[in-house]
Amino acid sequence: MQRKICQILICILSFVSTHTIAQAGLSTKKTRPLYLLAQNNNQAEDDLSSLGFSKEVTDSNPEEQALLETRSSMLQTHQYLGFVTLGLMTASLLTPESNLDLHKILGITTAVSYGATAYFSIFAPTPKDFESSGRTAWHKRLAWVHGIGMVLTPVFGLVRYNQKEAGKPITGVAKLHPVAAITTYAAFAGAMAIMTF
Amino acid sequence: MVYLLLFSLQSLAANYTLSTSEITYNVEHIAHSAQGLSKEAKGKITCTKEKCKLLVAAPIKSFSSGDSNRDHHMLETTKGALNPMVVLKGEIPKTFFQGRLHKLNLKLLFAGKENPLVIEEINPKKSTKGYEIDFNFPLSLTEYELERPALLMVPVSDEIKITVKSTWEEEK
Repeated sequence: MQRKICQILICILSFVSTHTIAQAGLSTKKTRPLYLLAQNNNQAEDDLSSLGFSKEVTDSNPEEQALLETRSSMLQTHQYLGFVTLGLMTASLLTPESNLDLHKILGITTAVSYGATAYFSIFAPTPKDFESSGRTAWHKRLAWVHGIGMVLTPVFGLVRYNQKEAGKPITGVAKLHPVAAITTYAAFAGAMAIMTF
Repeated sequence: MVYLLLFSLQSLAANYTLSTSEITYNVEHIAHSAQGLSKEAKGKITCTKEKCKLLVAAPIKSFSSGDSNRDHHMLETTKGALNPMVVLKGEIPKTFFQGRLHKLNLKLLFAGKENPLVIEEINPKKSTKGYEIDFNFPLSLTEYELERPALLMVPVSDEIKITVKSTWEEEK
């Protein structure tokens, strides 16, 4: 039964990841014909330069537009995968410790999903002179908290699992597994709650 | 007599420059609303004997909402790297600065598309700094063929409220 649940979860996750990776990779959104202000419209160019705008400001930059589109597409995927990860995290937290195997399976699936979520944020191209501000800055600060938490929680969990399997009392960092998990969950949920459009 | 003639000719052909401005967009979403502000617009009003021409432009990049990701998403959504300027232009009446309420038929060039724009009520007010011209208008993202940004799979409202506060100085 548990094996089946695990297989289903991994299948769903791999489908979502493959689908979203394919979407991000094929970020060739159709671009409609545009009036490129500085290139096609001489009158507009004259008008704008008469106002004192330099060509650097008024010229179009297709490379920058392409970069922004790839970035947006990847961050949107990051957002969708974030919801999947949050769902899996919630399920892991709600699974009772008595059902250790299911808890372990959900924990591993959460970690894989978390990795895929993080990938789309870390590897989204960053525009020149980009500096995080506002909610985005807080989103990144919280990412440090849940990022560290996502490393510590499974390590503490593994130690706890081994102690339980050996029939030993729970001691040391193994005791911190629930604390680390809840902290990670709170930081992750908080990071999602302050997302912006 | 000659002085009066020269004075009247000068006032007929007066030009004005935009000295300070604040252009704000307000976008609504069920989760929250956001405002973006630009103070980098430049503009002029050029008058001849027959008519006055208004031209105001601002770089799309100059709008800041206080959140870096939203600003870059806005830039992407509005194709701001391909069409870096938003331009408001059109003819205005010669009597524009005479302290009356006007309705203006202008054009707004935004995201590579030019649409007519009607400002229903605009009333320039003389102040110590020059002429203050404040107005607002709704902007439909659909009319400019723009995809509405979404959060939690819910798009923002189609109508964006634009507010303009500006001060104009007469050229000497």
